[in-house]
Amino acid sequence: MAELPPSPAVKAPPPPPPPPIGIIVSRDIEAYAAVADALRLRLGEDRSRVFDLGGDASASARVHEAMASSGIRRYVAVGHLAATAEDLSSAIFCQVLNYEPDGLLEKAAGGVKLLPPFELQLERWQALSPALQSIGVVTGPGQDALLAEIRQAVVDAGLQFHARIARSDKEALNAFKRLVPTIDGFWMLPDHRILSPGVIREIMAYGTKHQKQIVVFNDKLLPLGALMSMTSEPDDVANQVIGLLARTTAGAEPEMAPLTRVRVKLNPNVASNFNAAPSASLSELAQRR
Amino acid sequence: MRMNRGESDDRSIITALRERLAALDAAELRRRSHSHIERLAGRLRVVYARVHSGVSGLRLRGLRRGSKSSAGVRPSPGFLQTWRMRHGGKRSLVADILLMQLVFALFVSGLAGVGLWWTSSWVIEDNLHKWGEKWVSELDVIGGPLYVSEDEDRFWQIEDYVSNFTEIDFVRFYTNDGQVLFEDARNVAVAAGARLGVASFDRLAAMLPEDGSMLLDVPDTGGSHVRIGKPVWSESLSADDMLGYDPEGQTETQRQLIGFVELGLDFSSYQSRLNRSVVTVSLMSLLVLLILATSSWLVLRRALRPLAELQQPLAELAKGRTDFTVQSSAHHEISVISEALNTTVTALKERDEKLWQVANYDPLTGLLNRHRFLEILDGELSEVSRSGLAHALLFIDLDQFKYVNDTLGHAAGDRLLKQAAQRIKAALRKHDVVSRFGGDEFTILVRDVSKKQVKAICRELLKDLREHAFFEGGHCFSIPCSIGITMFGNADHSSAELLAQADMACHEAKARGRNRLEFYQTSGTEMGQIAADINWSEKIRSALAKDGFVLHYQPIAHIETGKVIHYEVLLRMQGEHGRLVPPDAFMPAANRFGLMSAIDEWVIRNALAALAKFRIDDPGVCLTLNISGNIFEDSDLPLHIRTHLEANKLPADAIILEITEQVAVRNMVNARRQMGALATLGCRFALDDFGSGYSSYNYLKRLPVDYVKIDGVFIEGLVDDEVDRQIVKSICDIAGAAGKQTIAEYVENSETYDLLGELGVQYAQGYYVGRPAAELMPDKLPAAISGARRKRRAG
Repeated sequence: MAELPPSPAVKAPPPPPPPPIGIIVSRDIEAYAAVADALRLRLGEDRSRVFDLGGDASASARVHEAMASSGIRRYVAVGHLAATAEDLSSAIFCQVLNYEPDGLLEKAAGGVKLLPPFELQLERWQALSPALQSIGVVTGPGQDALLAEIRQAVVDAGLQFHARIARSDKEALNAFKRLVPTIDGFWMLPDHRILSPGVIREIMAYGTKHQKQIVVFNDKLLPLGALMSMTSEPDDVANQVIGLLARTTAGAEPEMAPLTRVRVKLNPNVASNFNAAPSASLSELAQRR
Repeated sequence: MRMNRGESDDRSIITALRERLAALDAAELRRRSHSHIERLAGRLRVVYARVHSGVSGLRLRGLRRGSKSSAGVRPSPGFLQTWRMRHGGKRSLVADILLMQLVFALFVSGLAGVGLWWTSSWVIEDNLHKWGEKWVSELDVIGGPLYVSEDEDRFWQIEDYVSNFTEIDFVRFYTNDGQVLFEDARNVAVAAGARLGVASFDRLAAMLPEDGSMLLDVPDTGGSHVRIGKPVWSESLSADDMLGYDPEGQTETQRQLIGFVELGLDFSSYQSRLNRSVVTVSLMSLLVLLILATSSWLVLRRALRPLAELQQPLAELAKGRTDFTVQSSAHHEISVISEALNTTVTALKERDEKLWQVANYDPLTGLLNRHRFLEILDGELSEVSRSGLAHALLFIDLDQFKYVNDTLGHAAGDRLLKQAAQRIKAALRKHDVVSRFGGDEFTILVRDVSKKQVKAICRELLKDLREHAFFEGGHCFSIPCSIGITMFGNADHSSAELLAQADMACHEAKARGRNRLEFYQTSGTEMGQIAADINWSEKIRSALAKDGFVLHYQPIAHIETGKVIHYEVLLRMQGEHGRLVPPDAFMPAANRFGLMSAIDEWVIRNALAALAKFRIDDPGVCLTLNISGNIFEDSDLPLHIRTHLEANKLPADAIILEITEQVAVRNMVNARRQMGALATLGCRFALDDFGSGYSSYNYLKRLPVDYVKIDGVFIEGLVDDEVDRQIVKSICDIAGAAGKQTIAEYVENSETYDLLGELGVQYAQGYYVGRPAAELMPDKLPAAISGARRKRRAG
């Protein structure tokens, strides 16, 4: 039998492009918008689409319909409101502190932590204030994992840790005032359940009056007397979200992905009062993982 | 008598003053001379009385007596009266000043106290409210967890917090449906009585702002307890607002009303402490005020002491003593008063001395005057019984003095008197007393002398005067005199009797040829005359003092019309049993004892008063008043008359002053001056007894008379005596040419009346026209002259 010449190779049809990723933003604030922009940059504009709930819970259904009609099967929920949709199974949430009390991890495909790693934060803090010996926090109920994480970091840093649980803003204030005699520094956590504008001011004023170093989660709180603010970087959040998307798409179990960087902003007036010494390395520390 | 006129060098004034003073007794003189001192002293006495009453009027016993009453310091009913009576009903300067200061201080203290109490109460209340608001806010924070947890530790925290403040009565936390969640009460009763109801909760929630609280009263506690209610809110931010929260921006929060907190406060302790403080401060202020008042009283008293010390010299001054000097003061104001007082004292001393001189010495001769001589004589009489010495009283009358005076004039007469006085004085011993008794009369008290000795003295005196050459007007005169002597060695006779004796002896010397001496020889007739004169002088004095004189009025008719508008005032004395004594009986004694001026004054005063009453019925009636020469020596005569005219609201031309020609001539200088002043006032004058005596037409030209009264001696025989008719006619013609009107006296029948009208006499007075009577009697009018006589005169 004569061998037939081999038939030319038939190229496989290109795989279909992956479906776009929806990005639902709870409301238009800088912290959320920056993360949404970073995500779109990485995903590409053609592979992402941003939806803004505008702080309106009733807009969630409409947004989901829009996503469904757009063929979007997976989305990123930025902020608490976006993360309170009925079906989070295909969602990755970020910028949410109270995921634990709300049980978001059980509902969603995964999440990215809101706050930068506490080890990094403590490293920055201790670099600024080596005399720091005890730290206190007040938070609402249901934050056991968060507290454990913070406690571990603080203890590993050789400091004392004091935590109080409060159920209201006034209770938080009272708890803070009772902590003050036992702590050098206070870590204000962004638990909306126990913070009100008045209480935030009271805590800042009381803490300042009693010479306590207060670390806050928002740059805008620095003028109230905080020593420094430590916040996440939008790119870092976006990277972690995209990595988690890839892993969960590949079948990994849902997890809370930690952040890898921290952005530090200092209040020099308060720092000088505490004789804190911001060094050139602080900015380096601020960037280093 | 005016003090400033005493400084005048006018001899006539001094002479008038001398005579006037001679008629006054010593007490009267002193009273008049120190009247102005008393006015000044009186004013300063008022000041002193105030000072003195201020010094003694604040005696604490009055206050202590009042402080025993249950209502505090309250004077007994008699205290103020007693105090006022002690100080003559006048207010005390020191008391006034102190009272003013005290009232002001009490007012300021009271105001300050009230202000302090009110302000402190307000501050306490306000502070407590503010504390309460702060506490309730703290409790709101502390108690907040009560609403969301069952943490029992919260209860202890709340109790611990509350226990720090004693002002907190209770604190109560409510749920929002009004149930009491927790209560901590110190004052259970107050807490139980004040519970908020649901309506209150709604109101608090609706009215109060976010962190506001409301003040609520607690009933039945007198305002010493208050409540503060506050809603308890729970607030939180939304989860998505945390990362973007801007403290400077507007951020919506979620608020939830979870309950109420109620705080009860008690500031009664502050109130009672404040009240105690106010009471304490008030009491201390009162004590300080009392101390200040006492200090002020002492300081004022001390400060006003120099003023009070002026009282003694003022009292001395008021008594008429000027033999002291007021000490100067260190204070300017008092020093000014002291200097003024010293100046016044000095001036008064000088004036006293001048008055003494004027009152006791004759300005012309420098000898003692009549008044002073009588005082010395009286003093000697009071001593003579004790001393047992014999004295002599001499009465000297210059012979021929009238001749010199009338011939060479008054100035020459005065010079004669002066030279005579010098000669008399030179002839006497030092302890003898000589005076110019009046006119050309001198009296001498020769002490401790025998009859023989006094005779020798008198002979020497006669010789000196007789041999003295008085040169005047180119002529040389001697000065013979007649001397009457009466001896006395006891007080059996009064000074008036002794003078009368010496005067009688002098008359005897004159009767026996003058230029001789005669001793008084006692006789029954003479004694009786002396006694009578003295008796009359006493009666005159009594009548002057007790208005024992009576005025009668004799009409003067206008001959042509028959109208009576003038009446001559005639003096009578009320005698025993209603009998009226005519002036002839008592005038000589009045003249002798210097009572004429007093009688003139009495007549003027009473006549003008009567004239005022007469003019009610007859507005045109006038009175003619007889005045003696003595009154012309009163420099204040025009003032006296004007005073009485004004007091009785009479015009000056309602009176006509009648003087005799002799009086006018004897007192020509004074008469012209006084008459001129009175004429300027509006008074009119009548010259009485014209035709007898001097009858000098020159006086008609020189004296401002309006009427000439023709002496009755020419009227009585007018109808039968052609010479009288010619005399009367010539008097009328000359008087008419001189612008005077004529009045005829002693008209006793119609023929005389008619004839006077024919001769040109304007007025008639006499029994035919009307007799003197106690009231005016215009009813009885003489018939007007017949028409025939009127025609004859006109023809």
